[in-house]
Amino acid sequence: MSTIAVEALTKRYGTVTAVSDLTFELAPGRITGFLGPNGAGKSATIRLLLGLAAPTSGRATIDGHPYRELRDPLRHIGALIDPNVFHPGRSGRTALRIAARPARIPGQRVEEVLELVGLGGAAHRRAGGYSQGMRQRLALAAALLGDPETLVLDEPANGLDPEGVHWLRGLLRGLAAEGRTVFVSSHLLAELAQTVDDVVIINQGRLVAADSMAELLGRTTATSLEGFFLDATSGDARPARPASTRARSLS
Amino acid sequence: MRALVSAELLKLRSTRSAWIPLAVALAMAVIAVVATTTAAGPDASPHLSPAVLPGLLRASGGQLVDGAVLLCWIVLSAGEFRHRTAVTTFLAEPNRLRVVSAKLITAALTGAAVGLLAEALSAATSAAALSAHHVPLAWSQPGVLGTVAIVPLLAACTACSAPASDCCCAIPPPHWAWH
Repeated sequence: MSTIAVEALTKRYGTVTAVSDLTFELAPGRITGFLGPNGAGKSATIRLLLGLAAPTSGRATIDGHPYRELRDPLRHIGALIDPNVFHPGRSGRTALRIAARPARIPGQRVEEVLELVGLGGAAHRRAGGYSQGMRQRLALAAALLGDPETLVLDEPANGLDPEGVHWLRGLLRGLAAEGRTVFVSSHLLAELAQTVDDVVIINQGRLVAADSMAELLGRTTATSLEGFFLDATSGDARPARPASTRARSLS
Repeated sequence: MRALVSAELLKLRSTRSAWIPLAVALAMAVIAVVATTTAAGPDASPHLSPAVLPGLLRASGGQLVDGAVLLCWIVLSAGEFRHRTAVTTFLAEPNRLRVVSAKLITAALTGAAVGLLAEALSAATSAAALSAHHVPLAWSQPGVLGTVAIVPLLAACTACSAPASDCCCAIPPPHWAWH
C-alpha cells in the first residue's frame, strides 16, 4: 500500500513562508481532502510533494522516497495539478502517448484511460478545442496512466458539469475502495464533504487540522465541514491545534 | 534514455509549427539548385562546369538548414514553457539533467537527419540539373564528400543549442511552470 508522508515541511520564497513546519500522513484506501483558503500553501505543498519545487527544510515522501528519487514515478503516483498542460495542437491521444512514453506505458493503457474518463470518442481531436471539462478529464486520464497507488488531484472538479462531478465522486470512491491513497485539494466544500473520509486543513502555510471527518466534526460546534473550515480559517481566530498533527496512524 | 528520446521525437512529430521551417529548408535545398543552374549555363556566368557541384551542395544545404533546425527546436523548447507541457515532462521524469540530455540527443538526431536529407535532395537535383546541361558529374572531386558530411554535422550542433539553452531554466526547480 502506498503512503504519503509530509514531515516538518517548510518552503520559503525569499521572505515569504509558503509552507511552515507541515506534518501529516495519509492513509491508503481513503480519500483525504486538502483544504485551505487562497494562498494557504496548498499548491506549494503539492509542488513540494511532486518534486516540482525543493523544500527549504523537511521532506515529503511517497512510499518512503522523495518524488525525485522514484523510479518511473508515474507508476507510483498520478497527479492532476493543472488541466492546461497540454499542447493545443496535439490530439488528446497524442498528448497521453507523450506522457506515457517515459514510463514505457503501452498504447493500450492510453486507450483504456481515455475510455475511463469518457474521452474515447474525442481522443483524435486537438486538445486546444476541448472544453474546460474535457481538459480536466484529459488531465485526470494522464494521472491514471501508470495505474498508480496514489493520486494527488488539485481541484479535480473544476470545469466539470453536475454529471461530471457525480462521475468523479464515483471514480474517486472506486479508486479508494481498491486500496489507493487519494489526496484531493478543492474549494468545493459541500462536494468535498460528500466525498472525503479524512481532511487536512492548512492556513497561512501551517497545519490547522488533520483528522477523519467524523472526529473533526465530533469535537466542534460546527455541524458541517464548511462551518468547521470557516471557523478554523477566518480572521484572526486561530483554532487550537489538534493534539496530534498526524491525519491518521497508518496501521 | 531511449524512452525519453522517443517521447521527444513524438513531440516533434506532433508539432506542426515545428515542421514548417524544416519543410521550407528542404524545399529551398531543391529551389536553390534549380535557380542557380537555370540562371547559369555553359556559356553564362557563373559558368556551369563539374567544379560547381560542391558549391551547389554547400549553398542549398548550409546555413538555411542550420537556421531551420534551430528554429524548429526553439519552437519546441519555447512550447514547453508557453503551453506548460514541461509540467507533465517533469512529472514523468523528475531528473532535469536526463530531460535536457534527451532533448539534446533528439535535437542532434533531427539536425543530422534534416541535414542529410537536404544534401540528398540537393545532390539529386544537382545531378538532374547538371545532366540536363550536359555537364559531367564529378562526385569524387575534392569538396563534395566534405560538404555532404559537414552540413548534417553542423546542423546537429546548431539544433543542440536550443535545448542547451533550457539547461539554465530546467536544472533549478522550474518555478516558471507555476506562475
